[in-house]
Amino acid sequence: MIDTENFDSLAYVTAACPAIGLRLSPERLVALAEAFALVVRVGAPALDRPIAAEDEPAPVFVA
Amino acid sequence: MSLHLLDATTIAARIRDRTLTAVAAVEAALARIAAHNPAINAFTAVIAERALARAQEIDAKLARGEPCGPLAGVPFAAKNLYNVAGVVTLAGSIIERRRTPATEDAFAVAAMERAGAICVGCLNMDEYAYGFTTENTHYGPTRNPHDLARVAGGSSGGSGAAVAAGLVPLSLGTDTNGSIRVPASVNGIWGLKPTYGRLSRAGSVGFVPSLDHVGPFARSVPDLALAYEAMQGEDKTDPAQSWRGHQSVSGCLQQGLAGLRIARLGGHFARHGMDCAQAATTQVCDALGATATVELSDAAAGRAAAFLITAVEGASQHLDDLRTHYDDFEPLTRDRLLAGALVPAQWVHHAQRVRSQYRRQVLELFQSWDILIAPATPAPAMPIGQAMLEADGQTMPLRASFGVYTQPISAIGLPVIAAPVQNAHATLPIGVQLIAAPWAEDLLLRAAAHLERAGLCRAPVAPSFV
Repeated sequence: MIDTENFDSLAYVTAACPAIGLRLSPERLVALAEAFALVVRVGAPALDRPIAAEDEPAPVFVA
Repeated sequence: MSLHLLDATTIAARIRDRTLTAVAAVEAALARIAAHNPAINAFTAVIAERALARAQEIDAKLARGEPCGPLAGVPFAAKNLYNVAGVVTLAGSIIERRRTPATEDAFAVAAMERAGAICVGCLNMDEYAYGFTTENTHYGPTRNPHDLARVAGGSSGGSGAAVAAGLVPLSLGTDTNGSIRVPASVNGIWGLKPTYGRLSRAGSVGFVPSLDHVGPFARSVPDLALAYEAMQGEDKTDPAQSWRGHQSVSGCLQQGLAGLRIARLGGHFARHGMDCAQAATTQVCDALGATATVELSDAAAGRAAAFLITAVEGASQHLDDLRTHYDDFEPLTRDRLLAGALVPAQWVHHAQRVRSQYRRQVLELFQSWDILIAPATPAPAMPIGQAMLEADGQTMPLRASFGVYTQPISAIGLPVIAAPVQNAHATLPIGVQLIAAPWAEDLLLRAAAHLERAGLCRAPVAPSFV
């Protein structure tokens, strides 16, 4: 889904913060970008996983 | 034998036969807390007056010949995200400190007290349950009773340390991605995370509603079973509860392993950890006669899906406060929390569908097996302040990676017991996960009881606190 090797977390968080009403200093943006890079890195095995039409998103846990 | 070395089952039996009073049991627990809590920092509040009043009630009822429940007079404590009437529910945060005290107990706390147990206090945790180490900057780190320079795990670190140090025989924690199983592992005690939806979470501060579970810690399997039974009950105020009726498990503890099909999880669960985690798992497999190894090829994807869902749901709980009180948040996790607010909706929608796909794969595996075995943590307790974990040739951020084995299991709501193996790495313990299909907690308790009887898995008070 994404190119995790080349994903620019700093550019992404800088662009996305205003969308949720966040106005952060450059120092805080850098710290946030590092945290977002961790989300990308740990989340990648899910984001790279192909899904099929029958893969229902509802979080149900019935045996 | 000193009271702090007795398990809850024995304490309750002595109180019921009136060779011990509930007041004496509570006073002994309060004295232990006063003497030893400064060393481990497990408690954030002690409610002596309420506890002693409750103990007097129990003793009076017993004197009148009235029944007081299977946990009559047993002291316990609850992670400080459960509401306890009269106490501010801190959830590890200084933002919550401004709130008024809770006016009633959480469902689980009240259920324990209906079974006769007596709440004596509230326990330290990672802020808002986001973490695996309980290195809480606001309230101080909880220290591991096996080595005070090491973490007690998290996020229910106070719950794990209080039981391991013999301050209380039982405690309550919560588990979203491993927050019962990780502290159980590093403190060398038993922990149970039931099936998602089994126990009511009402009256507790949520972290990730689609993944949050409540459950008990104990130093013996019969105690774990009693606490699990006590915590059950239908509660329509928790919309995630799937009530299936009361599951009695204490009666099955002597049934042994007959008919149980048990296998070890390989692949993802054989990588990422230190040798001692794998060695302890091998010991448990040997004791359970588990010779087969099976793969969950989607485990890494399932874990990653849980990580994304956690990031998004966790952030959404706190976004308003993050905008306005950023500096009041835990410095170790506030940027991780905030990052979750920026995850694209498409990613989390994809993660939900991956979780569904992974759940199908796991449920198919349970057609052939009843119990699956895996390490609980990749390493034993790490030194307080350590940021990175080196294991299996990799260097990983410790606070995010300590759930590498627990997260794929809770991601799909499976019931799990963390079984303690003492002295797994020098004098440090480590835990092993016993995992079953949804709603099969009884099978887990049978296997756990077998391991306890075999002498491999046991949870004595940490040596320095005996």
